[in-house]
Amino acid sequence: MSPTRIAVDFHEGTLRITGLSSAEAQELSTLVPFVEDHRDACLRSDAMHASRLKHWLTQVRPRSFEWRIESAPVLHMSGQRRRFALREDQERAVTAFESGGCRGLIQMPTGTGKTVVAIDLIRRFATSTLVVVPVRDLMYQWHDRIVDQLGVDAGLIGDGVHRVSPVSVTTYDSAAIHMPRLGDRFDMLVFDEVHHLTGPWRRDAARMSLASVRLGLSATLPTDSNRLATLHELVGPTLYEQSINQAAGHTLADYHVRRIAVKLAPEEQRRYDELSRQVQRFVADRRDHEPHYQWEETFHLAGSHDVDPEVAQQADAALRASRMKRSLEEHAAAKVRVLEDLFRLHAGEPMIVFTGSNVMARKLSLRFLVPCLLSHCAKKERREYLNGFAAGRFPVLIANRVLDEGVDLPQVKTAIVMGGMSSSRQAIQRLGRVLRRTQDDRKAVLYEIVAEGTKEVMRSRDRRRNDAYRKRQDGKRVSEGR
Amino acid sequence: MLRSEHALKRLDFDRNEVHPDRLLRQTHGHYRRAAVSCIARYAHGRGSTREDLHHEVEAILRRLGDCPPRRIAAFCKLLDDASEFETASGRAASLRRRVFEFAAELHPVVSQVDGLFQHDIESARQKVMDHVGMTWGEIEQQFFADVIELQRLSDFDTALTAEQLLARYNVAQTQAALYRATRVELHVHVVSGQPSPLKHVVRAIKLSGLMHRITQFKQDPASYHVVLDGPAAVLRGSTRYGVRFAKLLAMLLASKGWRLRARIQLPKGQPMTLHVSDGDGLRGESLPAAEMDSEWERDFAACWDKAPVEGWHLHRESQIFVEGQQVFTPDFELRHARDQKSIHIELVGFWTPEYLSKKAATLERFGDKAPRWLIFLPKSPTPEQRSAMNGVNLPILTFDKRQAPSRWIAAALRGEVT
Repeated sequence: MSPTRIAVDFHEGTLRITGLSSAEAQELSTLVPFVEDHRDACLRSDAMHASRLKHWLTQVRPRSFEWRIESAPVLHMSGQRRRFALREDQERAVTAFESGGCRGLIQMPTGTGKTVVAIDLIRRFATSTLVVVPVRDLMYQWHDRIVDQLGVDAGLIGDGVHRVSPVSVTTYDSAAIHMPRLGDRFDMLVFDEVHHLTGPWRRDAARMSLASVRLGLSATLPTDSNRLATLHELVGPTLYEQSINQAAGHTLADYHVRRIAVKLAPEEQRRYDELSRQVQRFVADRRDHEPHYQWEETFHLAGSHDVDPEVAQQADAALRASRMKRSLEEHAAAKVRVLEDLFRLHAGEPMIVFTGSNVMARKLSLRFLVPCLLSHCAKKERREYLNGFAAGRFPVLIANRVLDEGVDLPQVKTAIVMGGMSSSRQAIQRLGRVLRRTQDDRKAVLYEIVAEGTKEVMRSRDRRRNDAYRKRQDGKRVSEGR
Repeated sequence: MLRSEHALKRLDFDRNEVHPDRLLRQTHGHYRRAAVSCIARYAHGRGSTREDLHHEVEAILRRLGDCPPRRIAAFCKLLDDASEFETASGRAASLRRRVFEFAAELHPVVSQVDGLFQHDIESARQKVMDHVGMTWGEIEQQFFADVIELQRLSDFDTALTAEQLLARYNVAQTQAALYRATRVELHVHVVSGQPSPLKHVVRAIKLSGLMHRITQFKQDPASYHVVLDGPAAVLRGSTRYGVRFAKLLAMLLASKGWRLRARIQLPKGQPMTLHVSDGDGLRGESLPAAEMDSEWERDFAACWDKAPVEGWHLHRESQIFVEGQQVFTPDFELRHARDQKSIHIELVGFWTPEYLSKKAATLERFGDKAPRWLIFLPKSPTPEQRSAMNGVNLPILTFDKRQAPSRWIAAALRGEVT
């Protein structure tokens, strides 16, 4: 009797396998994780295991399986307009990826040309490719790079656009949402800033795709072993690593960090102290009831009116006081004066100002009449500002989060951080903006304007604990002028 | 629908149950008045920014003394959903562009001029005003008018009542709790003397795009157990189908005869359960236009009622047939009281050729699931209807109001095709 015909198809981000005998299923289970699915009378597995499954079927049933998945088209990158020579470190990264099984992670600091490495690999593989990026600006930037360097008009998925092409660019969230429908369209995935892939929801962006070639790029791979293991499972092993210290001075500009502390105005300080006391009173009061009370619990308490309305109201008030303190720190009038001084000092140089909130970004934009990049800006407007800034038509760009990671900014040697979060990753990425290598040998400067006598100073210190802030390549501390 | 950051629920760790926030007449009667005020603020708020409207709603609800921040945010979202805002995207962006391009030459705009920098705030603003032909107040108002919180209200559904807003809130919070559901189980039952929920439920399931396992209770053939999730759910608990569950709930609320149990996965992974039923007093909105010819169905039932055949009873949408992920609920069933003979009846109305061929395929697929069938075409069937049913090997009659129902039974029992 001839064996049952085995069939495999793609079903909303999963593989449906039918027709395997029990012995075959047993054998397969040692290679590919799957479960029996009685709903569809099939075995079901994550789409990401497709190439391993196909390889196994080709060996055990070379002529009797039906692969109901269309092969990815071969791309004709007619343009390849800008052939570029890779630097030695970039060549090493490309070779490591190809010899490492075409699935894995490459870590290179911001400004060392990760995108160049990825574009070169897309060109080499010449197959349908989906590039996944953290933010919309990066999506447009990748689109431009692909048009420019591969001669392919890439599709866009996200920001209200849904144009799927053999080479497309999308965001992590859109990829996770749409992968059940897109997962069979691409044979290569490029995850830019791949550390974003580890969130439970976003993992579907990798799991639900059939892609056999998987590249993850990052300036800073997670140090947490569980998150790194997740990336290894979803994308592949770490194949190439270059630390910021290896790059600084060679491919990156050297840099200074200058912290400028400003005083709150007397009225601001009075209000700040009053709010601090309110928060302290609340926490002290809670600790009278629960000695181990942590501030983080306040968020939960504020929502529990049904348990204890009075405490919920106090918690809510404490949270508002805390937010108000942050706002006072960020909006301190003296900061705007310092910013003006820095604009004077660096007049004629392109500068980027990072703010901790959209409100502050808009406020500064209107005060100094310079463009700000916020999430509401449409594609065309953002590109105009970025291009105008690159061409020197705009002296300054103000940004909140949108420029945090990876968005290419041309030749910036001076940046200013006003407020912001304390995470070291964000600090590195922000620092990366000023680390661009320029023609001259001047060191880049990162100014950080903090309000004295506030939590900002502590957050700033936290940021500096990161290697990128603390050490130069020669191991000496970078200057911390005030 | 709310966003997940608006979800407010109480967790009962003793019973491992999730209780979505619910405003009840007895305990939250004071919210009615606040809802009236919030609606009035929106109704008279044309031209106000979203941010200002939200601040005012916040102030109204805070005064109640028992309104947590998430509840406030949820009310703002529901009021926004009943509103239209001017997006002003082109206008604001164009103004910004003009200002930034013009002002680039003035950089840096300083607070006091000196020998090096000649453009102070006042003179720079004056130059900008001259350039764009607007006052500074107008510029400030329009500069970021496309930012979501600064968009201005242009229209509001003034028919919205406080009761409706509160009812929407309760439904929306239950839906929001379902965003974190990994699987839903439904118990659907036909209550004698009440409209059958089966067809409605089946339709809701189909529209939700979820996968299902449907089983009929052996002890109670009028009840079904339905398990719903998505393709990847067998691989791992995934909340990615949560929004589909939430949409399903909204559709279920339009019918009676069901109760739902959802498995909820909290962010830290603890499994919890959410119970909802048609008796919870949640008010739903109706399904999208139904794919059934209700007028014809009414005529059909009236025809039977006029001359019922002794020993036989007409039941509407009494049974669900399942094959894999395909589900079918025939329009009617004629059941004999004594010998348990039954005839399943489907009315094939005037529909598109695609619908007709799909219907024919369904009848072919499910034809052997029941011993006796009767398919009705309209009185004067189109050639398309006739040809679509050509391959269907089941008794077919054309419907005529004057026809005696006894003739239907006879035709079905004989396997007649007219």
